[in-house]
Amino acid sequence: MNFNSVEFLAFFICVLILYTFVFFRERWRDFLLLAASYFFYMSWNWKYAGLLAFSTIVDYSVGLLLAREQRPRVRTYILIISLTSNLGLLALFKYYNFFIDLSGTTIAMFGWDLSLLRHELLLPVGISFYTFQTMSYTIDVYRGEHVLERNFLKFAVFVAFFPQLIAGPIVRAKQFLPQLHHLPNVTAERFHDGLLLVFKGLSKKILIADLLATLAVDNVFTHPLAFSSWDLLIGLYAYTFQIYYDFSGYSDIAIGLAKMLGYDLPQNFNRPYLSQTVREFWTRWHISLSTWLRDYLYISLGGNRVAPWRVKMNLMITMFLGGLWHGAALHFICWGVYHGLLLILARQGPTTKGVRNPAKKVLLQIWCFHLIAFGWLLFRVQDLNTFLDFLYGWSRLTMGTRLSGGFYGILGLGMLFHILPTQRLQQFAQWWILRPVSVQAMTYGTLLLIYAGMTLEAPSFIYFQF
Amino acid sequence: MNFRLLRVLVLGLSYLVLLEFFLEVRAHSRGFDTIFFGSVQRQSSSTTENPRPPLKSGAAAASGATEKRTGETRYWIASSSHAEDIYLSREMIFPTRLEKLLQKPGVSVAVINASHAGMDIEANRSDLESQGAIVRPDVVILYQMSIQINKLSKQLLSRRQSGSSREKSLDISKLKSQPSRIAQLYENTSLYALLKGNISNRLTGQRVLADSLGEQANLQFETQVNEFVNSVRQIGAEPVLCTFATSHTQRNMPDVPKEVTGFLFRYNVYLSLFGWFETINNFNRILRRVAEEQHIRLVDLDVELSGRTEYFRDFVHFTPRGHEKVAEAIYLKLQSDPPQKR
Repeated sequence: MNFNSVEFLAFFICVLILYTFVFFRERWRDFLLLAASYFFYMSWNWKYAGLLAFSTIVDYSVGLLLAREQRPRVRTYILIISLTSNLGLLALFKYYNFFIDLSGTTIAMFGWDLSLLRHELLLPVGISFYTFQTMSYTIDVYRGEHVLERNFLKFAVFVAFFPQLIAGPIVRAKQFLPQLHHLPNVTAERFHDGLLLVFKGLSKKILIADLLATLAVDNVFTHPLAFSSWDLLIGLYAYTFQIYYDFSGYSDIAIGLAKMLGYDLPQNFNRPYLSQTVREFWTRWHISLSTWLRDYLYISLGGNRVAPWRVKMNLMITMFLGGLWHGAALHFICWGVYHGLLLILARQGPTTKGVRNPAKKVLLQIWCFHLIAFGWLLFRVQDLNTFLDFLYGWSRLTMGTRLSGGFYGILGLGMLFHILPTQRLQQFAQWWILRPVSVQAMTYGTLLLIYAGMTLEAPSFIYFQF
Repeated sequence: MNFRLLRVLVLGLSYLVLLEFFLEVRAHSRGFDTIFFGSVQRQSSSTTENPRPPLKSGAAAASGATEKRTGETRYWIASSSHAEDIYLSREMIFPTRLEKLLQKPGVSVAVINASHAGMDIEANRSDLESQGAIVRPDVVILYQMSIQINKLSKQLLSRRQSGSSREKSLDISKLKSQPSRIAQLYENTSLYALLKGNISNRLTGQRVLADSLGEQANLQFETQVNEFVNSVRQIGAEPVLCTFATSHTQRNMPDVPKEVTGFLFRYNVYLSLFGWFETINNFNRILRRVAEEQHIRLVDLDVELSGRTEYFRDFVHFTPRGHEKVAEAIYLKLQSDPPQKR
């Protein structure tokens, strides 16, 4: 059940109606949210709901045990139970086959065949997100950050909350659990604000991301040699914006849906391609993951309070694992290592803080954008040949274009929307929610119709893969 | 939280339902099946005992189609909307015209029009296998291609990359291939048809489209044709193949009007106009080769009709004159070498 599907629309309307009935009954409300979340998750594959429940039970129990136990060494052992079970799930479903394949090529030299050890299990949707979310909970409890949840129902809702279950934002316990203990904050303004965010997300996804993909990106990345150097460059720019609008669109929908139900989820994107440095980019892109990696991995490794060579190593390890988190494939690892190198180099270079010259700022932004875009090439290509085809295609320096005017228009719209000041968008939102409900309803209905007509192949969200 | 908040959603949905209702009124009045009004009772509808295939031929419908009279020769037309053509009356479509041409004093002939919009060769074969033994046709004429091209395009070109190899290992791939009942209901609405017809085809024109379906498509098409021929022979009938005709050809590609490309892109969002012509030429070549290798009679409609716009109301559907011409071409071929009776 994708967010951009009719099934989800029907599902969410049913949830909203039931939610209105149980809104003032705390236990019923929590139960409804949990049931809806599991229903949503099971619509992908009902068998994997057991994994979600397993992760929930383990981390809930670990939380209680940690709260009861005072001895540091025992507390560490208890934490290891949580980390092992969560990372074990990830390792089994996401990385096992990858490492079997990797080691298999080496071991094959000795005449052994490891391919028989491969499993045919499908990767459960959203597993990377909810395992990280539950791990952050146990680590916070271990660190004594006062987030312990004794109510199992509420904890289960925290883990499985459907708007962000599949692709984030990765919510911290201290951000979300307290909200479950109060009456959800649903006002007319917040409800309409949430609805507007949902439509903003749908627009990003359908109007920009999907169109960029179907009009050009998919073809450019499938047959790079059939395109000129210019088209390859534009195709890469287009993918750079596609992945942003796809994922930030999903995040907007998730945040909007949660808001309509009365809950606040953290912001996940902040116009990342306006960054002047790669370091700044990581404070604006997939914020919930980058802060997770910072707080639970980078800082745990010693962060920047260690010797300079260790800081570099910590950065590299963090980004390497960040790349691996996206998927068990070499191109994701290359992407992570590439960003690790960029961050290390950024630490060596001159600081860009305090740059006031607007022209210099813009130049830095353009430079940073290209560094990031090149990273997306590593992220997107699935084999070395496609990557080399791109490099060869660029080396030919050919200028013709096979891309249509409509595609350029969509790309231009994506760029424009990205640089538009956020105040303008907020002003529009404030103006819009004051319009008569009938006008809003007809506009939303018409937009739904247009978007339905524009969906050529109903693609999933890119980040559902991770 | 109270129900007043949901007003915007209720109003929005009511607006969509109302819009759908008005569109359905229009669609129903034009003879289309709709959700609110159900199926339209077509003059070509089949007999009650034998609901499929839709027997559009007057003689066949009158005879109830199942009871084959002694000495009667039965021709089975396996096609799709090309032969069903809900926009024209029964008398105008080529199966009926063919029947009239074949009928002579003292000769009992029935043409069974086993064609329905959206049918592909596999559906034709499945119909033949389930009903062929009852209807007992003597000659089975296959006229198919555009639906096949649409299906093969979707199968071979649909999001071929975009992490597709990764998606195969995910739950997502499964979800895409199984539209739910809600999605099916939605896809049956008039609104959906209108949107697909007016927005999707325009967007498709902006895509970088494939210029070829590749060798795999040729192989699949040939296999399907061969399987169909085998099925026909298994029931003791004689297969007749027809090459596919279109309003425009590769020769006059620059002059293809926008309505034609719009029509193609409405149903196929993957293949370019060039790709269409390439594929049709390839598939027609396959039909000619199969006919030659297996000693099957071939009606070369491509040579007879292609590129002559007066015979077509769009890229693939015939005008009344086109139907007449098709009927004549098939008739002449059948006359030149009469089919063996069972």
